[in-house]
Amino acid sequence: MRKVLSVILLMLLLSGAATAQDAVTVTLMHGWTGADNTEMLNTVFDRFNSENEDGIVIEPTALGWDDLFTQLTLTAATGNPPDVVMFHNTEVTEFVRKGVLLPVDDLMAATGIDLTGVPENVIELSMIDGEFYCLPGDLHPMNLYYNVDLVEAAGLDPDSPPTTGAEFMAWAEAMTITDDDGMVTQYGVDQPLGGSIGRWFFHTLLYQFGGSWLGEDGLSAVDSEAAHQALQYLVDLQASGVSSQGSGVGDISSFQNERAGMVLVGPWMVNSYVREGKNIGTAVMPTFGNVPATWTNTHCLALTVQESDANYLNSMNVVKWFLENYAEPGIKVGIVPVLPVALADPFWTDHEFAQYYAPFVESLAISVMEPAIEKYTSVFAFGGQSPILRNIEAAQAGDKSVEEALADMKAGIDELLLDE
Amino acid sequence: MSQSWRKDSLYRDGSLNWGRLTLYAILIFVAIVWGTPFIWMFVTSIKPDNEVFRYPPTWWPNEPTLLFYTRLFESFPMMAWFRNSLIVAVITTTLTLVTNVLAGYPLARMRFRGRTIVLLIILSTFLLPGEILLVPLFLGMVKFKLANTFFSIAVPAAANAFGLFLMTQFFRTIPVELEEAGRLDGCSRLGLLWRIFIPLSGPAIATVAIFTFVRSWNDFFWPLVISNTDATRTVPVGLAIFVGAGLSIRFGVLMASAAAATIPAVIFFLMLQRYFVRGISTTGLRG
Amino acid sequence: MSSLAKTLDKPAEAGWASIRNDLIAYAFMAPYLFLFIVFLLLPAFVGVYASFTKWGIIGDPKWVGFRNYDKLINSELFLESLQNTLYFVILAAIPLIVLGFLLALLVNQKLRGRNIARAIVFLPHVVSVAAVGIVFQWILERSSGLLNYYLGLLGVNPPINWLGEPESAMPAIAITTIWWTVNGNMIIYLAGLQDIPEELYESARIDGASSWQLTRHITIPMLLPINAFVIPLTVIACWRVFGQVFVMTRGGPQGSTFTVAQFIYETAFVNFNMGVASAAGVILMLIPLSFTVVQLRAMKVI
Repeated sequence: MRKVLSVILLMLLLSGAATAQDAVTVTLMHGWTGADNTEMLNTVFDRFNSENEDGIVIEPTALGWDDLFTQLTLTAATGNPPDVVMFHNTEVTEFVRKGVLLPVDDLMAATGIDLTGVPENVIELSMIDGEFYCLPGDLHPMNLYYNVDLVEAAGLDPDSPPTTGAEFMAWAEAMTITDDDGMVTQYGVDQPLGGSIGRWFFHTLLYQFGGSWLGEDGLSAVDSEAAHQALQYLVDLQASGVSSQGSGVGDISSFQNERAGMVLVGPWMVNSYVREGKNIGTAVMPTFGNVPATWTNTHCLALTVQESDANYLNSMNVVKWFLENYAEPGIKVGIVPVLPVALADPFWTDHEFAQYYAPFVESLAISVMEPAIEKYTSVFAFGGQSPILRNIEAAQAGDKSVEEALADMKAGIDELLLDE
Repeated sequence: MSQSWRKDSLYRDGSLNWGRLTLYAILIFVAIVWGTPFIWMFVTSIKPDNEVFRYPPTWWPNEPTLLFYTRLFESFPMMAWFRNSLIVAVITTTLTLVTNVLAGYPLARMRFRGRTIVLLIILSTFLLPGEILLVPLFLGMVKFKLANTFFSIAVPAAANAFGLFLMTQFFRTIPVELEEAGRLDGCSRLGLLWRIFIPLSGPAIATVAIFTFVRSWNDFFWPLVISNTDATRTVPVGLAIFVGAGLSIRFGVLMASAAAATIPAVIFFLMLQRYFVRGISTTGLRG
Repeated sequence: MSSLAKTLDKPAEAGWASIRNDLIAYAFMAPYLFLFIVFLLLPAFVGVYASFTKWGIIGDPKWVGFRNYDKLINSELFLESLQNTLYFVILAAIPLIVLGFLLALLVNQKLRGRNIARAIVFLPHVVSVAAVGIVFQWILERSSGLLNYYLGLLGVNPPINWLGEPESAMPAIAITTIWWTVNGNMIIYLAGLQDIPEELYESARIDGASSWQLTRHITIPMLLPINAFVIPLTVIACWRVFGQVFVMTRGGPQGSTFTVAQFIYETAFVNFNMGVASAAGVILMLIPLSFTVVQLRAMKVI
């Protein structure tokens, strides 16, 4: 026992004490977790803390997205939310209706934030009932990655990546390799069964075929012909044998493993692929349906309602500074800034990865977001309850027909929407 | 325990003992199956990114790296998380031991009104899903301005009934005669507990300490909800941020953080483990 | 083994002495009872109360009677989670008990290195569920995972998509759980084995019993009372399975590993429907209650 105690004592002594802070602190909660992201953001916050002469200090808290929504709700319920929260435009409505977020038009004017040049649809999403509730920082659309080595090995030209569904399928078939026993040793495309990537691809196809998530009545519209075509495409892709069928928990390891030629995912994978030494190329999402479209979401910064308004202006200054210095987090996290001043930042334009991001910037014009409804985090959840994920997976696995899956999906979404 | 012949020998009467041989083979197989995930976790944690997915799997990297560990300690307040976890685990374990030893005595040895009811209520909480306690506890902590303190992270865990159950069962196995002898000498109840029960309960106390410490060290959801700065954040919560959620699965980072979180608990267990089986063995689980 | 009556004091006399006796008993228990009431019982009561309300955490709870329970009984999702959990209980609880027993027998043999084997099998117990989950996610990985590689060498082709197919996901979770927690049962059985008096074996050996007969006629019957403890505890723990699932599959694929505990977690902290979540918690508590009654009787605690 004495041994145990002495070890404990030693560890306590070694670890030292926490330091206290007297400066004006602005607490900021964000969801960019992971070693790289946290390190990078900390350098950005450190820069702010050293540059800023008003004595404002940013105190960041990183949490996984699900945990962030939980913490934000819990802390708001007890009147102690962080000053600034960074999440996605799709969640803004929900937290505005819960009374968590602050309208910021006056503060924007006071700090001189200029949104000129930001895509119109993103600005619309940041406003509710004519007032701004958040400020968009970036977009991260889903596009095509391909492994240049595998593309060349299949006798394809890496400089002209597929732009249509037919070309995409031709590439996928050319890169699918089967051994003598009939075992697939290399897949054309690393498309998991369902999961978040499945949902985003379904979303992309849904809008490419001219559909949408919600109808005029405010209820789900996934029983449409477009939804039928979109899901049928996903089902056919799995059935064709060119797809890896990873598990839904973000499993795109075949591409990471260089055992799949292509993958459809957001810009945040660029860093990790390049760092792992893969010879990759990126291209705009091919058009599988009638019109070009691709999934996207934003990150945005919002202020929370506090018991006193003493810190609002400081918080807004932090937001402003952060938006204008978005290039570094942009390139390092793998997201595309929306503010022209950040996009023109040499850090962004001259970065060695800029070539990989070019298609992502180009695709902003065709990017479509999921509807920012009041029930967003329930309807578009990633957990086991989500009617969207479950039914996409069931259809892909052949357990439900496309009609059944879509009918069940609509029923599930409507139930969540109607639950008061 | 001295034996006239060596029971662990592979030979008996000069010839190979096939039964023994099979048992050894099974023992080795078991050790491999249970040990491999640990080894694989460690080996992956020292592989650079471009070697992790190498196929077929390799049992040693070409270029071993401690990069993920150094990043963990240099770029993240890992030492502060360790210290916080340690403070929390020590508070919880101490509080659990003191209160359980005290409460276990009357439950094991005294006849008093309400004994059955108290036992029944305490034991029924084994069934309680922790998730439904989270929000009421959180709101209570915030109300009393205790959120984000070591108190709020550590103290609720000491209400868990498992240790009390173990202590009660153990105290029941201590011979009544010893207690009666003590009483004849004029010992008070507290004196009996201090001079007779505690000295005889080393193994049980070690067992409760291990269980409580390990559970506290690994607790995730409650610390996640109640603490949100590095001043109080514990290792599992901190590592969840280091690991990150999302699609960029990097098994090297994941395995390094898993290893870093696991090692202190392993050390704690190895230090106390010789008491461990004895502790359970004499708790009279057979009723 | 002394029975309960013998270990307890003699009944106290009536009057002041008995009251004094009660006061002493409660004084000993006071510190624990304080913690217990404040941090377990009160929140639990709030939770049970919440199960009869509509409560979104922000704002005050509103009384709705049994509506949440009614909702649950008619919810396909909840019934499915019950079904999945039951499937997991069947998949995991039986191996946890049988294997726990066999492992205890093995490491109780007088073999060189058994202490090391004991420690190795016990080690997973100190690993957090998050670490267990990610390590097994990696081992079970479809294309570069360790398990599929060695299964491939044994001729299992094509590789099994462990966490990606509804048929294999729950067994994969069960395998992980067995690796992680079988040691708890092993230790308890081991303790029981060590409590069996050596003389029983000695006298049987003198009568010429084989080691199989020793196991069959002494060890197994002597361990029967322990089963009354191990079985309910294992079943209850399996009913509450959450962490492994949450880390490894998030309830997928196709909801095939979606369990009651995850239902509660998501309902409470994703949908912020505390009322329905609490009601599900109460149901999750009531289902294995029958097991506990059996357990407590078997242990002669009540």
